[in-house]
Amino acid sequence: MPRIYFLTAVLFFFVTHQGFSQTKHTISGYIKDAANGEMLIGAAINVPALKTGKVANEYGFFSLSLPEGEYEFRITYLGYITQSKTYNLTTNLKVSFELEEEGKQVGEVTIMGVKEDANVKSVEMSVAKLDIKTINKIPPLFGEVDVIRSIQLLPGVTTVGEGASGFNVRGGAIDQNLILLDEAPVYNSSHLFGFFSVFNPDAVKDVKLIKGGIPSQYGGRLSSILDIRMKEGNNKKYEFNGGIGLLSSRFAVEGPLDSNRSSFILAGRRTYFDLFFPLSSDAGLKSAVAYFYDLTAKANYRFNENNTLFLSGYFGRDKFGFGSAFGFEWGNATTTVRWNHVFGERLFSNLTAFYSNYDYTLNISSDDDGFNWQSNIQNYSIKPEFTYFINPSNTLTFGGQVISYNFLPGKTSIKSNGDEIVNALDRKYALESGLFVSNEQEISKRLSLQYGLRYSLFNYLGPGSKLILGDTTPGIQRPVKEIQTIASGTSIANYGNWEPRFSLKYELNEQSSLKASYNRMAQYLHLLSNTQASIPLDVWAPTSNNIKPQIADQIAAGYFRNLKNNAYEFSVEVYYKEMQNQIDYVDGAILLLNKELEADLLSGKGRAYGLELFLKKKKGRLTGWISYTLARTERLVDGINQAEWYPSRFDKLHNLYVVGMYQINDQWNVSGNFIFSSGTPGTFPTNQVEYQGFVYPHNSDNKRNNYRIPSYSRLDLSATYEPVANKNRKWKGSWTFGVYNVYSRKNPFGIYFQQAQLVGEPAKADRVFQPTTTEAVRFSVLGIPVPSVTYNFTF
Amino acid sequence: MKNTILKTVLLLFSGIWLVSCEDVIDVNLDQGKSELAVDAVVMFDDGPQTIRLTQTGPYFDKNKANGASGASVRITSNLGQSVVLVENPAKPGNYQLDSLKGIPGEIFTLQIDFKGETFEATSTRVRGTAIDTLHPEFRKAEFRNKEGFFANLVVKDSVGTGDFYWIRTKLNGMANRLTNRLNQTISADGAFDLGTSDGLDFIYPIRNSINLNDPYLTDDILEVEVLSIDYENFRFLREMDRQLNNVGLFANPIANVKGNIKNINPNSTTKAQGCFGVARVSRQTIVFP
Repeated sequence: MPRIYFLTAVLFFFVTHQGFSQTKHTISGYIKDAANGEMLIGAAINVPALKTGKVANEYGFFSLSLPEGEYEFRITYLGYITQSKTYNLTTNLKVSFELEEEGKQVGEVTIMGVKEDANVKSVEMSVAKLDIKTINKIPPLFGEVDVIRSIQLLPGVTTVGEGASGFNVRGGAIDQNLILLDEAPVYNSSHLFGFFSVFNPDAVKDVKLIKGGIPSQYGGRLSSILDIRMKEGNNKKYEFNGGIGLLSSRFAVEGPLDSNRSSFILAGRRTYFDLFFPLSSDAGLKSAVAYFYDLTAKANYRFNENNTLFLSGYFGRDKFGFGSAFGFEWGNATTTVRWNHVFGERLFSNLTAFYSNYDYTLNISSDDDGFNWQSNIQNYSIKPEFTYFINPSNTLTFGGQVISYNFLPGKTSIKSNGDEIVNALDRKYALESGLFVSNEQEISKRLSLQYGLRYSLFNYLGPGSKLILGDTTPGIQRPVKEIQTIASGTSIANYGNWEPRFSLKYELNEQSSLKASYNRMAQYLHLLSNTQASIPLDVWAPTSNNIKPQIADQIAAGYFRNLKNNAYEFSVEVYYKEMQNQIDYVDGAILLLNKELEADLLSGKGRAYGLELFLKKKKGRLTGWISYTLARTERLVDGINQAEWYPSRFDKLHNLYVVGMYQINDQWNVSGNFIFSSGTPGTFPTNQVEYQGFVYPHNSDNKRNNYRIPSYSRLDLSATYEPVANKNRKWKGSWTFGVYNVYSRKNPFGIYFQQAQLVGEPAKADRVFQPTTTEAVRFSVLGIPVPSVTYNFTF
Repeated sequence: MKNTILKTVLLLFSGIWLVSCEDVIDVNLDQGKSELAVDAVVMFDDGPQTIRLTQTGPYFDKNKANGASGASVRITSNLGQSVVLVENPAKPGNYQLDSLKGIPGEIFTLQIDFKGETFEATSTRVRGTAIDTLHPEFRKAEFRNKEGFFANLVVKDSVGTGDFYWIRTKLNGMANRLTNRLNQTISADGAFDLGTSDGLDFIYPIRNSINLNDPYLTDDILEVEVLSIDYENFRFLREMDRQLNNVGLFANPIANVKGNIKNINPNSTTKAQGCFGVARVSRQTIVFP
């Protein structure tokens, strides 16, 4: 631990020794959207005379210290009109800028020629941002635009297939993505398995995916950070938004609570497919329940220039059932409280406290028989974070985080012929903490660095059981030697990791730069999932004496270039990632309701490498991007595939995504996306084995993932029609028509091997079921075009 | 079980379920090695029985596997029993024994000498349970089930965790093997998961695994066998079930089913598949009115 203090001291010295010669003053404040008061994350303030500037942080705050003098300041943000203001800086100054969106106002001159060149100029790399306007234009599935499905169109991001929850980033598993909704982690980002994500697009402001060069304030997952920020709500006027689709409807209201000081947003949606069930003639279907809903709420209050409080919450559930006989539901709940405080002019602080819960319940019951199963993961956390705008060349970020976890791996109650037994696996407790420091430093106009360090600590605590396992042949269940009972508050296992982070940018010229990064990440929570697609029943497990923390080292390098006055962004990146302590499973592992689950786990290494090409057109009638990723991700696990490297389940060599949006005129906008990717690997048998009348597949070489399923390709199209709005009415509506999987390709999700079953009519002789011949079956999730229509409105 | 629930849930969202599809396709598979496969379930106190040895064929082979002829096969126990099994000359690969007796805890070893290699597997006689009652029961129409006579089985798990069972049926003298219901016929402590309902009557889905979706018909003869098996045999059946019912979004990774047959020479590359298990059987038969 003393090392970190030492490093901090060195950093402070390093960054503060320069520039004491002149009197300096600080200009600080916020950059907002003029129409609704929303903070503009990543908006830039530049001083052309000094060729320096700063970017507003996640809360729209900036701070810039300059020598005394009169300067012209330019405030820019993509899609907004650039503002230019001159201030005489003779003292510290607090100002807020409000930018207006392009193309919305009359009689003003748009200042052209300002460079939106963050792609080239920022030290960030391996970062993809999507604003909600773009997400809203991507062709929908079942009428629903979706944050996670949009993310899957970015370079380095893949999915196992339709309906699979989560996403894979640069060869990482789905649990290696830290999904943050207003800083609170979301454990299951899916509604209805993986078809929809839990984020209501009406409430989302900004989505940022960090795949590499991950700054030190983030930790706890290996592969990526998906940082989702919710809207603050319009603080100027009330606004209502909504949409009516085939599957679900949305409604959101936002507005000021106390003019200019406070605003709120409340957004909800619900599917209503199940409302048609009572119309069914089928008695069973009449009592069926099947829907999901979610509610997103946020409010903020600005006490004064230096203090703002934010309160945000998310509550969503999926519910399925037949009357009282069967019920299955799951959902996330998160609450975040944040307090922004500005000390003086240059030290910005944010204190976050959150609560997050994911739980599910499965219930089957009749008079004398029943089954009830519950599981959850809860956590509380506090995270103080400080940003010290030392001078234009140095921005220091430091802070810490403590997360307390409480897991209920499974509690069952089984009733059989009137007798009942309740059985609960031990709750598990853990504490994860981290300390971090990071500095972004401009060494010269061309060279910028971001360097930081995180120290993370994980403590798996009693009360609980400690499983002592014996050794055996790798690949089979390990013997349990002893189960120790550990008292409350006593450590069962603890681990600490230093996680260095480093990024570098070197500008070749105004239009192009080279970047490189290295990061080490440690992960202490693991989603135990052994099925092709993760299911809501999957359980998160903490690191223990048997499950070691996952660790990844990633290096990445890239060339970034903007073309035609920043209308085009181009980048090429390469990365190499090594992962330790990757979890795998013995064949036939039991992951649920298993007290000795750890005996079924294997541990191995992973490696992933690839090349990502990205070309984005940001301006004009036609916008969109082309993304191509050449990637490989492999594993080496003693006990699987004869201890040789094998491709991961989500390995895809080629991934091409083309996304285009074309504004035909003020009324019509059309969008399309095309996806092509190599098939995922599968394990195919060589032989059949007969046993008691059954025939099961067998691979005599004991290979894992030795085949490729056919490639995936899909085209989606959509068109949005916005009728000319009646100027006297606030009501504005638009229609979106979409077709998903236009050319009806049966993309295989997987290929499986089974015995054909003789299924007879209930005539006497045919009711004996005998498995017959063996066959290969291709399973496609959405094998036909899926049309949709949605009506969106705002007033 | 898990899959059944998830499929039901997806079914509720019929909009999505309807557009998913399964097609039988042609796939070219690698040529594998042919290996010895052992299919041996020996029931105590149960008259003449057969174990079958085969040589594994290509996965898509439509023919029954060739019998592994000419092996020398015996069963011994740690209490000194020793039985030699004799190959049926009319049915190559079928090896017969008259009967087997044993006491709880007795460990049996199957030994096979075949083509110069010796294979072994062990299985333990467990304490076991017996069928309490089996009787026809009239049930009204329920969701997806028609009205009529079904079989009602009551059988209790022994108190204390770690008991394993396999329920099998014969309808009118023919073994009924519903692959997609295999998971409901194998049980740990009378439930799906070990220790979750220890000592109770077998849970409903397992008791009810002896029924089809449609009622039984008048004069149907249903024979129900409850086999009490050891853990290794149960684990083998569970892995086999996973591999046999493995389609869809939530499929398990395709992996080899691990049997309990070992080559006594650990350095030999010749392996054998399948499983040897000894079982206590409780059997009852009913005729439907």
